[in-house]
Amino acid sequence: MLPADLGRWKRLSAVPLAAAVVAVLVVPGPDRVAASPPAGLECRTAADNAFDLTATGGYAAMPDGNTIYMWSYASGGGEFQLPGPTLCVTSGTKVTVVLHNSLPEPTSITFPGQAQVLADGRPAQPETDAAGTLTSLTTTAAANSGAVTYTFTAGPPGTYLYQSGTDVQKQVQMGLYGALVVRPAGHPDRENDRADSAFDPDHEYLYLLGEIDPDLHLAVERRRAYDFTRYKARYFTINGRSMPDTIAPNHAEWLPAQPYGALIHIRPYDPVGNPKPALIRYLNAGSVAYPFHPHGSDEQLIARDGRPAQGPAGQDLSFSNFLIDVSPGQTVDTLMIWKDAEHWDPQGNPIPVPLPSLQDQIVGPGPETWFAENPYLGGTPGELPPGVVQNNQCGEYYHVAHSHALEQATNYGASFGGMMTLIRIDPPAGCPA
Amino acid sequence: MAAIPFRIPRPRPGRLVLPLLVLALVAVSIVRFGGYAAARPGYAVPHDGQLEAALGVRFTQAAVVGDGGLVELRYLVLDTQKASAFQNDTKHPPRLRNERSGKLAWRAALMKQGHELRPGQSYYLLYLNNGGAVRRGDTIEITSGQRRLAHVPVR
Amino acid sequence: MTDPVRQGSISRRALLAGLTGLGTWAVLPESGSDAQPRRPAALLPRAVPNPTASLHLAATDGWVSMPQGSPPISPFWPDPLAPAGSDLYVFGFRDVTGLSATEVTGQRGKAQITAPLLGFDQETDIKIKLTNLGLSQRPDLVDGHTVHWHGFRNAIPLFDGVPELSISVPIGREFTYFYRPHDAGTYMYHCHFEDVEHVQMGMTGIVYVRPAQNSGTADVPPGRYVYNDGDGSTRYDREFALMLTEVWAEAHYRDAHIQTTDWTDYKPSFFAFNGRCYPDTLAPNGDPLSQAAGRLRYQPISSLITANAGERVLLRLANLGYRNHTLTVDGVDLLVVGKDAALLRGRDGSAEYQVTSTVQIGPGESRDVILTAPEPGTYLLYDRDLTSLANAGGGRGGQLTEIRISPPGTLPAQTRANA
Ligand SMILES: [Cu+2]
Ligand SMILES: [Cu+2]
Repeated sequence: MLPADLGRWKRLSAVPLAAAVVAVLVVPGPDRVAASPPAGLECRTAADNAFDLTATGGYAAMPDGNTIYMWSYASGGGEFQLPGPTLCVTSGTKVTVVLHNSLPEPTSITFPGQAQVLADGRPAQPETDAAGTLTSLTTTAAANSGAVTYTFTAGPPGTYLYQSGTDVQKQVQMGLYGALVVRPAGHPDRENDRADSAFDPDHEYLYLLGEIDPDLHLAVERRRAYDFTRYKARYFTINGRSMPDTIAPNHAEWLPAQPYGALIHIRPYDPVGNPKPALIRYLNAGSVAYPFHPHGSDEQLIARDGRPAQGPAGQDLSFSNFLIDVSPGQTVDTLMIWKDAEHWDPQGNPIPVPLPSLQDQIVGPGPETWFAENPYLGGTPGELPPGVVQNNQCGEYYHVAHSHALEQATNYGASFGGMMTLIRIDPPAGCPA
Repeated sequence: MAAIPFRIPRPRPGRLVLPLLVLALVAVSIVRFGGYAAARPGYAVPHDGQLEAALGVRFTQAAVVGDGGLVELRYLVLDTQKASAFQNDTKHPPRLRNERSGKLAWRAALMKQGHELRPGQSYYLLYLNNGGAVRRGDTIEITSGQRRLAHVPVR
Repeated sequence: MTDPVRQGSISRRALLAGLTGLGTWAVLPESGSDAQPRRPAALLPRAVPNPTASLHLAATDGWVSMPQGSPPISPFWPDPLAPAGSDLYVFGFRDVTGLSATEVTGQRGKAQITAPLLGFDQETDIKIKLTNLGLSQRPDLVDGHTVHWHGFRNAIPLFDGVPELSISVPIGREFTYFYRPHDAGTYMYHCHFEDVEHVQMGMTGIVYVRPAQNSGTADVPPGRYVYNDGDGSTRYDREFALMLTEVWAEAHYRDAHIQTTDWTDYKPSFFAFNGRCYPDTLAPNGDPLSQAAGRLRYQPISSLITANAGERVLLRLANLGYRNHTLTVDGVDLLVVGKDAALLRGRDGSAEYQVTSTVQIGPGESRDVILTAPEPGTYLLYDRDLTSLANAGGGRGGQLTEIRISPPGTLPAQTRANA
């Protein structure tokens, strides 16, 4: 730039620049995150249901130290994130998703479960090449800065995937997927229109399940060919993270591109004080079924693929599970509570078997450790039997929840990792910070 | 480029306005729209060559997780045999002492992640954050046997 | 899960309470996924103590046998380290209830697969003592063991058996787990110490809970039911439990030969019912304490299903492999009444039973399936996934067993499951 230009540029820029500063401070983005809870589903909403997604590349961190090149979505000119932002809309509203493509090849978004999706105003259509070979399941945005605008009317309330419809085998595996949450009109605290799908909005969780073959990602990063017959997933993720990163907070600073945690944090069911269940939204963006096993509590399966579990006359056809087997491309929503079934209490109702003494805990060889010395939920040191020590924050419980295809509950083979997270249960009175 | 008909020399203080505004825009954008990657100040755990040589591991992260109830200590395996000995020495698990308050997090769940720790890979320990001993932003001292590593930032 | 709002059949439930417990709540489930109305959560005195059941399990390693004549998987199977008459290294549980301390120690290195079949009455106070006998083949390992009652509702971590979150039992030690089951149905149990390894190595078994309804209610006579159904629709005459597992021979070999395994390479070679592959599935029940049991001494649980024509046969199906499996019975309809130890009935009582010819079971899932014994003859029960119908990739085998139906009145009443 010529020096002569500089002054003008400055002069012309100062005011808008100042305005921009103010705007950034006071005006919400084109779409926004309502709140940023440390744990739980984080919605991206937009006043006019218009979302801006950029398909782009970035890096995801695995707990074993590996860094994986991924493709996923950046929202509204923000940072690359895996998975794409969780888009929340209300059933029956018009939704607009503008896809910008910064990838070196065409890409697209399919919205499984949404009807009559338009692309740039015309029905979204499969694409073929000159020879008639299918190249994309839906209308694409051209490589390197192409764009396409999808519009549709949000379908029945529930949980949906959105994901690439182009070179699906590669692009979805690369990370081009996210969750679309459709809320029932007038009832944001229900999973669907049924009253028995009500949940506690402060306890809504996202389990977007996926997998990674690092060889494929390396090949894409280096623009080399990859032989899909050698495909072998080594990392298994919830919301793009593996244990222990799944229990890190949302937006943990060491996971800049993986903003969504998967810790479940609840209190025991109580008909008065805590009557509403938590809601868990499972989505499978991988290539195999993920048999997900929550410990400590079963879950009521109330919907699949955005359809409530109900009969033609509205009968409740939900059912109880200790294993939620989510098929590829499928979504499953469950309600979950944990009940203090026995109300163990050191004085009035002690646990009827001997508790190992503190001595045992210290000298135990191997990884035999006492993680929750105190078996009494919320028990304070004064209430505990002799020798039993309170070593957690406030007497809270931790249960694990994980894939029961147990090779998936590893970080590249190292156990207690992978597709796994924790369920934290605080005492009824909560846990002081 | 076209000539500029009304180029007017500006007083000196004005020269700072633009860079300041640009800086301000960058800063508020980062705060407001949350770039999380490069925008963050670097996180680094102090290195101690002697400790690493003795234990066969390099501590790389201390973090508060589990909504504040747990502390994660992550380490990189440098030497498989020493790291296995370190990991299996549950009589002397590393302790985490909060340098600010003096509180200890000492109850580890020793995650035995496979029979063999692969060099170059990271593994982790989880601690009960008893009584909220460790908080984000604190620094801790990690003690393992006679070895100690001070000023480890917690994130 | 157990939903807080539950309607219907209150009178039935109240009657059940009146009959079996004289109004005490000790017999009532705190949490019922059995489509029962729920007793409000409250701390009331326990007027009548529950019956108690005590059990002693030992955890150790050992050697078992896959079907003879299967194609070798060199060098992994047959394992050259295996003692005569065996060919596969395993970890497993043993029932050592009532044995002396010396006898218990004597079971080191004598694990069985699959683990002992356990059945308890609802509302029993169950104490399971687990002793870790160590690994005779791998004295270098200090692995703990645990009991994880998979699917137990409203569990507390202490008895959940996840070592990272509570405890595991060190070698030479013991720990007593306590359970008070309130929900009938078919569960499973397994070790959760390095679960990807210990489960694959064989520490897997079925545990089931018999409903309180078995002692009779105003609506249903005393009998054998799968659930507290309130209408007798889950009544059965004979029950057979099938634990589905997979054996990745290479990993078993590596464990015996002090080598490590990348578990994401998982590639199973054998597919078993109750720790046996066809045709071993048909052999009668054995006893690990009996020398006479022969090659299958440490695989004592038979999968042969026998019944008289017209009888209702309950299949308790559970999968602790890492792959989905789909079972079928040629020519016989299957009535699925339960999944994951819960009666298939909506929260409003709507029926969700399913008549089908195939039942898919994912890893960690269970199903309760009732079939009505057809005309006398032999019927095959097997995995529809044909790669699971082979032993080490060769020939017929794997997850296949027979249902042998006799004319009415031929077999005496069944005295225990899988017999
Ligand atoms: Cu074990
Ligand atoms: Cu399990």
